[in-house]
Amino acid sequence: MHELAVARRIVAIIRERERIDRFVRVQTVHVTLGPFTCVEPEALRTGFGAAAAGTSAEDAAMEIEHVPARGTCPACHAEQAVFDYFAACEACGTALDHAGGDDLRVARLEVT
Amino acid sequence: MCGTCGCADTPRVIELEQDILADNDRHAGANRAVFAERGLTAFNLLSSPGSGKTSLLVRTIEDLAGDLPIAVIEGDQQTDRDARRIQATGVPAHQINTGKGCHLDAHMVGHGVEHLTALPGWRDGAALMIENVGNLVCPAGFDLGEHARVVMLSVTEGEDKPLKYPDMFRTADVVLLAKADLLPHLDFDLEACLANVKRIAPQAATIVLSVKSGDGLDAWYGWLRERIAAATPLATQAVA
Repeated sequence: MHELAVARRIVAIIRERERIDRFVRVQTVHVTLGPFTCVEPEALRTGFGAAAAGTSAEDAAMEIEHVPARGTCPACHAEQAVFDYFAACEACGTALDHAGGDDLRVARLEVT
Repeated sequence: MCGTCGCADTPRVIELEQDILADNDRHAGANRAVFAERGLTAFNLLSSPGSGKTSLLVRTIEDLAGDLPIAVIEGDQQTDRDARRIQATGVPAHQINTGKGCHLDAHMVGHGVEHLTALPGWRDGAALMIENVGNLVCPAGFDLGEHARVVMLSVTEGEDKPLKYPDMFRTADVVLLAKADLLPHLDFDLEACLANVKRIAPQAATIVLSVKSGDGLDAWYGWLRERIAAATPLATQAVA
Protein backbone atom coordinates (compact mmCIF):
# COMPACT_ATOMS: atom_id res chain seq x y z
CA MET A 1 0.00 0.00 0.00
CA HIS A 2 1.80 3.13 -1.10
CA GLU A 3 -0.12 5.60 1.08
CA LEU A 4 2.35 4.66 3.82
CA ALA A 5 5.23 5.73 1.57
CA VAL A 6 3.42 9.03 0.93
CA ALA A 7 2.77 9.45 4.67
CA ARG A 8 6.45 8.90 5.41
CA ARG A 9 7.28 11.66 2.92
CA ILE A 10 4.91 14.00 4.77
CA VAL A 11 6.65 13.17 8.07
CA ALA A 12 10.04 13.79 6.40
CA ILE A 13 8.81 17.21 5.21
CA ILE A 14 7.66 17.99 8.77
CA ARG A 15 11.04 16.99 10.19
CA GLU A 16 12.82 19.28 7.70
CA ARG A 17 10.61 22.21 8.73
CA GLU A 18 11.05 21.53 12.47
CA ARG A 19 14.65 22.66 12.23
CA ILE A 20 13.89 25.70 10.08
CA ASP A 21 10.74 26.92 11.84
CA ARG A 22 11.59 25.68 15.35
CA PHE A 23 8.38 24.12 16.53
CA VAL A 24 7.84 21.38 19.06
CA ARG A 25 4.49 19.92 18.15
CA VAL A 26 2.33 19.74 15.03
CA GLN A 27 -1.33 20.20 15.80
CA THR A 28 -2.70 19.89 12.27
CA VAL A 29 -1.27 18.98 8.85
CA HIS A 30 -3.22 20.40 5.93
CA VAL A 31 -2.92 18.28 2.77
CA THR A 32 -4.24 19.19 -0.68
CA LEU A 33 -5.44 16.34 -2.90
CA GLY A 34 -6.52 16.48 -6.51
CA PRO A 35 -9.25 14.22 -7.94
CA PHE A 36 -6.80 12.17 -10.01
CA THR A 37 -4.11 11.82 -7.37
CA CYS A 38 -3.31 8.15 -6.77
CA VAL A 39 -3.84 8.41 -3.02
CA GLU A 40 -6.80 7.10 -1.00
CA PRO A 41 -7.54 9.73 1.69
CA GLU A 42 -8.45 7.40 4.56
CA ALA A 43 -5.46 5.14 3.87
CA LEU A 44 -3.31 8.27 3.96
CA ARG A 45 -4.73 9.25 7.35
CA THR A 46 -4.08 5.80 8.75
CA GLY A 47 -0.59 5.70 7.25
CA PHE A 48 0.17 9.12 8.65
CA GLY A 49 -0.88 8.05 12.12
CA ALA A 50 1.60 5.17 11.91
CA ALA A 51 4.43 7.12 10.28
CA ALA A 52 4.18 10.06 12.72
CA ALA A 53 4.53 7.96 15.88
CA GLY A 54 7.39 9.23 18.02
CA THR A 55 7.73 12.51 16.09
CA SER A 56 6.55 16.08 16.60
CA ALA A 57 3.52 15.14 14.48
CA GLU A 58 2.40 12.29 16.74
CA ASP A 59 -1.33 12.84 17.44
CA ALA A 60 -1.51 15.59 14.79
CA ALA A 61 -4.80 15.86 12.96
CA MET A 62 -4.78 15.62 9.17
CA GLU A 63 -7.12 17.93 7.28
CA ILE A 64 -7.52 17.00 3.62
CA GLU A 65 -8.72 19.61 1.14
CA HIS A 66 -9.98 18.21 -2.16
CA VAL A 67 -9.26 20.57 -5.04
CA PRO A 68 -10.63 20.15 -8.58
CA ALA A 69 -8.88 19.69 -11.88
CA ARG A 70 -9.41 22.35 -14.58
CA GLY A 71 -11.97 21.29 -17.17
CA THR A 72 -12.39 22.88 -20.61
CA CYS A 73 -15.20 22.08 -23.03
CA PRO A 74 -13.83 21.22 -26.50
CA ALA A 75 -17.17 22.28 -28.02
CA CYS A 76 -18.21 25.56 -26.35
CA HIS A 77 -14.91 26.42 -24.55
CA ALA A 78 -16.61 26.88 -21.18
CA GLU A 79 -14.36 26.25 -18.18
CA GLN A 80 -15.42 24.48 -15.03
CA ALA A 81 -14.06 22.68 -11.98
CA VAL A 82 -13.81 18.93 -12.49
CA PHE A 83 -13.89 16.22 -9.82
CA ASP A 84 -14.23 13.09 -11.96
CA TYR A 85 -12.78 11.70 -15.17
CA PHE A 86 -16.02 11.68 -17.10
CA ALA A 87 -17.41 15.10 -16.17
CA ALA A 88 -19.67 16.69 -18.79
CA CYS A 89 -19.94 20.37 -19.68
CA GLU A 90 -22.76 21.99 -17.68
CA ALA A 91 -23.54 24.29 -20.62
CA CYS A 92 -23.69 21.83 -23.53
CA GLY A 93 -23.18 18.29 -22.18
CA THR A 94 -19.94 17.50 -24.08
CA ALA A 95 -17.29 15.43 -22.29
CA LEU A 96 -14.69 17.82 -20.88
CA ASP A 97 -10.95 17.89 -21.50
CA HIS A 98 -9.13 18.30 -18.21
CA ALA A 99 -5.76 19.54 -16.99
CA GLY A 100 -4.11 19.14 -13.60
CA GLY A 101 -5.86 17.16 -10.90
CA ASP A 102 -2.71 15.45 -9.60
CA ASP A 103 -2.26 17.74 -6.60
CA LEU A 104 -0.53 16.11 -3.64
CA ARG A 105 0.82 18.85 -1.37
CA VAL A 106 1.37 19.75 2.23
CA ALA A 107 -0.41 23.12 2.16
CA ARG A 108 0.43 24.26 5.70
CA LEU A 109 1.19 23.15 9.22
CA GLU A 110 -0.39 24.39 12.43
CA VAL A 111 2.34 24.09 15.05
CA THR A 112 3.18 25.08 18.62
CA MET B 1 0.42 25.54 28.34
CA CYS B 2 2.67 28.63 28.42
CA GLY B 3 4.89 28.56 31.52
CA THR B 4 4.91 32.36 31.84
CA CYS B 5 1.26 33.36 31.94
CA GLY B 6 -0.64 30.04 31.85
CA CYS B 7 -2.30 30.64 28.46
CA ALA B 8 -2.90 27.69 26.13
CA ASP B 9 -0.37 27.67 23.26
CA THR B 10 -1.97 29.23 20.20
CA PRO B 11 -0.87 27.36 17.12
CA ARG B 12 0.94 29.34 14.45
CA VAL B 13 0.55 28.56 10.78
CA ILE B 14 3.47 27.67 8.53
CA GLU B 15 2.51 27.97 4.86
CA LEU B 16 4.34 25.38 2.76
CA GLU B 17 2.52 24.41 -0.48
CA GLN B 18 5.15 21.71 -0.76
CA ASP B 19 4.74 18.93 -3.27
CA ILE B 20 4.90 15.62 -1.37
CA LEU B 21 6.32 13.66 -4.27
CA ALA B 22 9.00 16.30 -4.91
CA ASP B 23 11.64 13.84 -3.76
CA ASN B 24 10.53 11.21 -6.29
CA ASP B 25 10.30 13.89 -8.98
CA ARG B 26 13.84 15.01 -8.18
CA HIS B 27 15.11 11.43 -8.61
CA ALA B 28 13.09 11.13 -11.83
CA GLY B 29 14.81 14.28 -13.10
CA ALA B 30 18.20 12.82 -12.20
CA ASN B 31 17.26 9.63 -14.07
CA ARG B 32 16.34 11.69 -17.14
CA ALA B 33 19.77 13.32 -17.06
CA VAL B 34 21.50 9.92 -16.88
CA PHE B 35 19.33 8.59 -19.72
CA ALA B 36 20.24 11.58 -21.90
CA GLU B 37 23.93 11.25 -21.07
CA ARG B 38 23.95 7.55 -21.96
CA GLY B 39 21.59 7.67 -24.93
CA LEU B 40 19.01 5.47 -23.18
CA THR B 41 15.34 5.53 -24.11
CA ALA B 42 13.42 4.38 -21.05
CA PHE B 43 10.04 2.66 -21.18
CA ASN B 44 7.91 2.06 -18.07
CA LEU B 45 5.94 -1.20 -18.61
CA LEU B 46 2.81 -1.39 -16.49
CA SER B 47 0.03 -3.95 -16.16
CA SER B 48 -1.71 -6.34 -13.80
CA PRO B 49 0.30 -9.37 -12.70
CA GLY B 50 0.24 -12.00 -15.44
CA SER B 51 -0.72 -9.81 -18.42
CA GLY B 52 2.39 -10.93 -20.25
CA LYS B 53 4.97 -8.16 -19.75
CA THR B 54 7.96 -10.47 -19.33
CA SER B 55 6.92 -12.73 -22.21
CA LEU B 56 6.59 -9.69 -24.46
CA LEU B 57 10.03 -8.49 -23.40
CA VAL B 58 11.59 -11.90 -24.09
CA ARG B 59 9.99 -12.03 -27.57
CA THR B 60 10.97 -8.40 -28.30
CA ILE B 61 14.58 -9.12 -27.33
CA GLU B 62 14.68 -12.30 -29.43
CA ASP B 63 13.35 -10.42 -32.49
CA LEU B 64 15.22 -7.11 -32.11
CA ALA B 65 18.35 -7.52 -30.00
CA GLY B 66 20.37 -8.19 -33.10
CA ASP B 67 20.15 -4.55 -34.14
CA LEU B 68 18.68 -2.75 -31.12
CA PRO B 69 20.53 -2.98 -27.79
CA ILE B 70 18.07 -3.61 -24.98
CA ALA B 71 18.57 -3.61 -21.22
CA VAL B 72 15.97 -4.44 -18.60
CA ILE B 73 15.12 -3.49 -15.03
CA GLU B 74 12.69 -5.92 -13.42
CA GLY B 75 10.45 -5.00 -10.48
CA ASP B 76 8.73 -7.62 -8.33
CA GLN B 77 7.93 -7.96 -4.65
CA GLN B 78 9.99 -11.14 -4.44
CA THR B 79 12.22 -13.46 -6.51
CA ASP B 80 14.54 -12.77 -9.40
CA ARG B 81 12.70 -15.13 -11.75
CA ASP B 82 11.91 -12.39 -14.28
CA ALA B 83 15.48 -11.02 -14.36
CA ARG B 84 16.77 -14.56 -14.92
CA ARG B 85 14.32 -15.11 -17.80
CA ILE B 86 15.66 -11.93 -19.42
CA GLN B 87 19.30 -12.77 -18.69
CA ALA B 88 18.78 -16.13 -20.45
CA THR B 89 18.21 -14.16 -23.67
CA GLY B 90 21.71 -12.66 -23.32
CA VAL B 91 20.81 -9.03 -22.53
CA PRO B 92 21.65 -7.29 -19.24
CA ALA B 93 18.90 -7.32 -16.62
CA HIS B 94 18.76 -6.12 -13.02
CA GLN B 95 16.13 -7.27 -10.53
CA ILE B 96 14.67 -4.90 -7.94
CA ASN B 97 12.69 -6.55 -5.13
CA THR B 98 10.33 -4.15 -3.43
CA GLY B 99 9.48 -6.48 -0.51
CA LYS B 100 6.14 -5.19 0.80
CA GLY B 101 6.27 -2.30 -1.67
CA CYS B 102 3.74 -2.18 -4.47
CA HIS B 103 5.49 -0.03 -7.08
CA LEU B 104 8.89 1.04 -8.37
CA ASP B 105 9.95 4.59 -7.62
CA ALA B 106 12.53 6.80 -9.28
CA HIS B 107 15.13 6.35 -6.53
CA MET B 108 15.04 2.55 -6.93
CA VAL B 109 15.29 2.85 -10.71
CA GLY B 110 18.26 5.22 -10.39
CA HIS B 111 20.15 2.60 -8.39
CA GLY B 112 19.05 -0.08 -10.85
CA VAL B 113 20.58 1.89 -13.72
CA GLU B 114 23.82 2.27 -11.73
CA HIS B 115 23.98 -1.52 -11.37
CA LEU B 116 23.29 -2.10 -15.08
CA THR B 117 25.82 0.43 -16.35
CA ALA B 118 28.51 -1.07 -14.09
CA LEU B 119 28.13 -4.53 -15.68
CA PRO B 120 31.09 -5.70 -17.78
CA GLY B 121 30.37 -5.23 -21.49
CA TRP B 122 27.72 -2.54 -20.92
CA ARG B 123 27.12 -0.36 -23.97
CA ASP B 124 25.28 2.97 -23.96
CA GLY B 125 22.46 3.69 -26.41
CA ALA B 126 20.10 0.89 -25.33
CA ALA B 127 16.34 0.81 -25.06
CA LEU B 128 15.86 0.53 -21.29
CA MET B 129 12.76 -1.51 -20.48
CA ILE B 130 11.58 -1.02 -16.91
CA GLU B 131 9.10 -3.76 -16.05
CA ASN B 132 7.17 -2.34 -13.11
CA VAL B 133 5.58 -4.38 -10.32
CA GLY B 134 2.40 -6.05 -11.62
CA ASN B 135 -0.26 -3.66 -10.31
CA LEU B 136 -2.82 -1.51 -12.11
CA VAL B 137 -3.15 0.93 -9.21
CA CYS B 138 -0.11 2.22 -7.30
CA PRO B 139 2.63 2.51 -9.93
CA ALA B 140 0.56 5.09 -11.83
CA GLY B 141 1.52 7.93 -9.50
CA PHE B 142 5.30 7.49 -9.64
CA ASP B 143 7.34 9.11 -12.38
CA LEU B 144 10.47 7.03 -12.98
CA GLY B 145 11.97 9.50 -15.49
CA GLU B 146 10.76 7.34 -18.36
CA HIS B 147 10.35 8.61 -21.93
CA ALA B 148 7.13 6.69 -22.43
CA ARG B 149 4.58 4.62 -20.54
CA VAL B 150 3.44 1.29 -21.97
CA VAL B 151 0.28 -0.03 -20.32
CA MET B 152 -0.60 -3.66 -21.10
CA LEU B 153 -3.99 -5.27 -20.75
CA SER B 154 -4.50 -8.88 -21.77
CA VAL B 155 -7.79 -9.80 -23.44
CA THR B 156 -8.64 -12.21 -20.61
CA GLU B 157 -8.94 -9.25 -18.21
CA GLY B 158 -12.08 -7.67 -19.63
CA GLU B 159 -12.80 -4.69 -21.87
CA ASP B 160 -13.92 -2.44 -19.00
CA LYS B 161 -10.56 -2.23 -17.22
CA PRO B 162 -9.47 1.11 -18.77
CA LEU B 163 -12.53 2.69 -17.14
CA LYS B 164 -12.10 0.84 -13.85
CA TYR B 165 -8.44 1.85 -13.53
CA PRO B 166 -8.44 5.36 -14.97
CA ASP B 167 -5.48 6.63 -12.92
CA MET B 168 -3.28 4.10 -14.72
CA PHE B 169 -4.69 4.16 -18.24
CA ARG B 170 -4.89 7.95 -18.55
CA THR B 171 -1.07 8.15 -18.30
CA ALA B 172 -0.43 5.69 -21.15
CA ASP B 173 1.49 6.61 -24.30
CA VAL B 174 0.52 3.24 -25.77
CA VAL B 175 -1.94 0.59 -24.63
CA LEU B 176 -1.07 -2.95 -25.69
CA LEU B 177 -3.95 -5.43 -25.84
CA ALA B 178 -2.09 -8.69 -25.30
CA LYS B 179 -2.80 -12.43 -25.74
CA ALA B 180 -4.97 -11.63 -28.79
CA ASP B 181 -4.59 -15.27 -29.93
CA LEU B 182 -7.12 -16.15 -27.19
CA LEU B 183 -9.88 -13.92 -28.65
CA PRO B 184 -11.78 -16.81 -30.34
CA HIS B 185 -12.21 -18.40 -26.87
CA LEU B 186 -13.44 -15.27 -25.08
CA ASP B 187 -16.42 -12.92 -25.01
CA PHE B 188 -14.04 -9.95 -25.08
CA ASP B 189 -15.49 -6.91 -26.87
CA LEU B 190 -12.42 -5.53 -28.63
CA GLU B 191 -14.18 -2.48 -30.12
CA ALA B 192 -15.60 -1.55 -26.72
CA CYS B 193 -12.16 -1.87 -25.13
CA LEU B 194 -10.56 0.37 -27.78
CA ALA B 195 -13.36 2.90 -27.27
CA ASN B 196 -12.81 2.79 -23.51
CA VAL B 197 -9.09 3.45 -23.98
CA LYS B 198 -9.90 6.37 -26.30
CA ARG B 199 -12.26 7.82 -23.71
CA ILE B 200 -9.81 7.75 -20.82
CA ALA B 201 -6.57 8.22 -22.76
CA PRO B 202 -7.25 9.96 -26.09
CA GLN B 203 -3.50 10.54 -26.53
CA ALA B 204 -2.59 6.83 -26.39
CA ALA B 205 -1.80 4.65 -29.38
CA THR B 206 -3.34 1.16 -29.22
CA ILE B 207 -1.81 -2.07 -30.50
CA VAL B 208 -3.51 -5.47 -30.44
CA LEU B 209 -0.87 -8.18 -30.27
CA SER B 210 0.00 -11.76 -29.44
CA VAL B 211 3.42 -13.04 -28.43
CA LYS B 212 2.28 -16.60 -29.25
CA SER B 213 1.07 -15.95 -32.80
CA GLY B 214 3.26 -12.92 -33.61
CA ASP B 215 0.26 -10.80 -34.64
CA GLY B 216 0.73 -7.08 -33.99
CA LEU B 217 4.40 -7.38 -33.05
CA ASP B 218 5.57 -5.43 -36.11
CA ALA B 219 3.35 -2.53 -35.01
CA TRP B 220 4.87 -2.73 -31.49
CA TYR B 221 8.42 -2.76 -32.86
CA GLY B 222 7.59 0.15 -35.18
CA TRP B 223 6.18 2.15 -32.25
CA LEU B 224 9.31 1.41 -30.18
CA ARG B 225 11.66 2.50 -32.96
CA GLU B 226 9.71 5.75 -33.47
CA ARG B 227 9.89 6.58 -29.76
CA ILE B 228 13.61 5.79 -29.65
CA ALA B 229 14.26 7.96 -32.72
CA ALA B 230 12.27 10.82 -31.19
CA ALA B 231 13.99 10.57 -27.81
CA THR B 232 17.60 10.02 -28.73
CA PRO B 233 18.62 11.25 -32.19
CA LEU B 234 22.17 9.90 -31.69
CA ALA B 235 20.82 6.40 -30.99
CA THR B 236 18.93 6.47 -34.32
CA GLN B 237 22.23 6.25 -36.12
CA ALA B 238 22.97 2.99 -34.33
CA VAL B 239 19.67 1.33 -35.30
CA ALA B 240 19.31 2.68 -38.86
